Amino acid sequence: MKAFHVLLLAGVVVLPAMSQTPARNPLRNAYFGDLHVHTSYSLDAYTLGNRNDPRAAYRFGRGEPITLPGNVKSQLRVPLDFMAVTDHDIWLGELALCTDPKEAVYASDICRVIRESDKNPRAAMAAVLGFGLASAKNPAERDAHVCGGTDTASGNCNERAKSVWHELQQIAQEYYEPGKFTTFIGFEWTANLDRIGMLHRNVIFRGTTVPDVVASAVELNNRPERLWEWLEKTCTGDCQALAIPHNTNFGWGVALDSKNSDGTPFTKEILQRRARTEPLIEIFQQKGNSECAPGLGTTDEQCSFEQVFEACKNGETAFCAVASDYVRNALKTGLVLGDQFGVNPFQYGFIADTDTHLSNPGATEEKDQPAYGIPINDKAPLNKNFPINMGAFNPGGLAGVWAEQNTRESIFDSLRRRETFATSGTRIRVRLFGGWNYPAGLDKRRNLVEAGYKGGVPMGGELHGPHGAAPKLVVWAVKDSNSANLQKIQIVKGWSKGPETFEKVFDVACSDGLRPDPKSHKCPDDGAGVSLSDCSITANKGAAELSATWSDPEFDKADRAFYYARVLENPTCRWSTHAALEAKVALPTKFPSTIQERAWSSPIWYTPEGH
Amino acid sequence: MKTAAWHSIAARLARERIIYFLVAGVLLFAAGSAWPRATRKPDLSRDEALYRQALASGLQQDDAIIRRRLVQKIEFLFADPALTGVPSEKDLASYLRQHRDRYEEPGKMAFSQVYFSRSRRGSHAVDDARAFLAKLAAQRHPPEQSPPKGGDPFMLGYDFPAESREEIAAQFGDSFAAAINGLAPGLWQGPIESAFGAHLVRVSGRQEGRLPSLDEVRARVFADVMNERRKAAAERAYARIRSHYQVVVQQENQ
Repeated sequence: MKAFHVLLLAGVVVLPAMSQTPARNPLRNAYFGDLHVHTSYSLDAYTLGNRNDPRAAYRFGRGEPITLPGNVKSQLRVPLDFMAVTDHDIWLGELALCTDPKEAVYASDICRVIRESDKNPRAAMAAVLGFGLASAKNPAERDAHVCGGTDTASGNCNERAKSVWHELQQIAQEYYEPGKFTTFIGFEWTANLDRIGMLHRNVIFRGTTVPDVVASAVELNNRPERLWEWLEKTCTGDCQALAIPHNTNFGWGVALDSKNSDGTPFTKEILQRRARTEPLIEIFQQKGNSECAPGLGTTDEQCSFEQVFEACKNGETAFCAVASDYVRNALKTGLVLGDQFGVNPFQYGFIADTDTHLSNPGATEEKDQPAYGIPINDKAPLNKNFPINMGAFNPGGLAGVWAEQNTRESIFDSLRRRETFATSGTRIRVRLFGGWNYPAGLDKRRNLVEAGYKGGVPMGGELHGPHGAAPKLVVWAVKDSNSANLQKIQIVKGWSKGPETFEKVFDVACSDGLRPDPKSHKCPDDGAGVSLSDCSITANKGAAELSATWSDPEFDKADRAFYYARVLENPTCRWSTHAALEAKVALPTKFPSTIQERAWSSPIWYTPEGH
Repeated sequence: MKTAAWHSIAARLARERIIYFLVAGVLLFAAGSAWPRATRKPDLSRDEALYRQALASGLQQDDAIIRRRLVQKIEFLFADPALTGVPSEKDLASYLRQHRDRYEEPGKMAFSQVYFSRSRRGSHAVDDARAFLAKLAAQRHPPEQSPPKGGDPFMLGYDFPAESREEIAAQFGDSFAAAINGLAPGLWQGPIESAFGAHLVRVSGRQEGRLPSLDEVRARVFADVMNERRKAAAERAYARIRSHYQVVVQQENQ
């Protein structure tokens, strides 16, 4: 030790073996990733003009520059720690056939329209929507012409999809650098509903042992129940998988409904399988926020954040918001189902992703190019079958995990135990612990993480009765050093009494020395603002970090409940405002000019004794 | 292309029992029909009979799946180690030197830090950090030991064993990354301000940007060399095959 001391002072220190995988940190590190990424191997991405393949997406994720459509060079300011390319399963074969000059179908009109999508995106989009509508039929259909005849319906397409799936596995393997950059083998199971409703799930595998073929949503007739069954039958032994539902705001009331996707009643067996296969949900992504929606089971004003749809009016069933499609409502329903069936199928931890279709995972900065690269003044929807102004989309979010080290095993296990958080795109870090015997003011102590694990459970965990007093929650959030300061931490509580459910939002930590009002549980306004002429923000407002040790003043030991943390930044410009300023055009009036970036921790659940 | 290599391909064909007749017809592997007529179990005879009849009837023609499969198979054969060779140590080392930009690692530093939160201490964060530093000096606190408890909990951790400048900037902000870059290793120094507050920092080591040794990146280099060789071998093989064919382009009648 003495010799080492002398060396230090002499200033000739060479670090030993730095390229080794960093040691496991038992207190766990925050890693940021994106588990929802489309490349030129997804038919819809291809027809949006994207020609960057999965290798380009992995290169981009680990920090290298790529060239986006329109000849735009792009590079992440901060590389991702982990990612998965999740191309759409249902058209892997179709696209490969249509772009292979050696195939007879190459010369067909439909393939030509797809290939010429960079010149005529509207025609190509119409073609893809046609594929989407066919896939949503019952029974699901493929394009008979591209796949070769009706009898062999999926024959050529499936054969070809198999070799693309093998290639995708190999590419994920090529880019995996344990300790530095974790890649997962995965795909998007693309179950469609009529009118482009989505029951989509990303399937993520822990290692390299995966099914030899993908049973796509067409093969499984768009039934998630069959996906869970298929995974349990096919992915065994060394194979481990998760399915992560996403943008349930496009679920047309089916995604998180209290019955099976075919309308039949739940059974305990199906719910158990669902709970085993789906520990997580993607709460936020470029196609909008699925946490909650204004007026649908909530009075929380923060639910208006990045909404794509308004509540369904009389008779509307698609392209509008239904209460059951939103995650917070599902979490509440799950408490009741837990009582009814003895298993809670909606015990979801949270992540967010981009769902990029431009092979640029993690490119979530509002200053970046708009989602989908659609010009913001293009008011007309691209197609009558998809009546959405894409200005309502956003650059997407990030998945956060607390894991011992940056490896497949460690990160997958975090996903499995729900020690995850979601962000709307910035790198806010948030920790949440729940326990019965934490000391008061634990959040201010240096050992709060050790004590948090030792005396309780981290985010994603469960607490059980009997205990008369409320559990203590310790929450701690730190800003993204490249984004705005934090404004507040909120705890969102949901609970049930018999078949009835309730929710309430508590502000628990405020910036600028402010305190939550003891009656309304709200922080006073911190006065932070944004200049809409140059997007500059009020200086010296907000906090670099916030924390609280909190217990629920309305705790009832007889009620099932969940608690999750939501961390809000001070307001900043929305991407559409940046884009309008750069183009020197009027600010769009249909969308808010500013947003509050945020992070959501996975919930901690409380279950009373005897439940 | 060496004759030995082609013999090896023929041997492999026989081993894998691929659809030999087709390949022979298309690709001029005319030599010999020494296909060993293995005695087949009765339950295989049905498939075999139907298969031969299908071939005789020409059902394989214009079938996109069979075509693709055969192209895949022959491309697989091009990757035969007899054609690509196995790179020697010398080959790998020279490839690493010639493509150093692909393998170079950025400079990294190791440091520990004690944090004084601006959120908790407001304008006192910097002064508190200074006072703690003075205390360490007065106690003649040995720099290689962790300092006595002080400062505030820091979510990103206390010890940073190997961070590049970009990684430091991503976590602490650009100005902190620039400031820490100039610190001499050894003693507790600071405070340095970050996006979060004030930090006392002890740099414990520094590693310049460097080309890793072959041992550290052998697997990656090997994969890259083999990739290039496979591509080159496939191109050579294709060129040779292509030279046996004449391509006639027929104008379409519009």
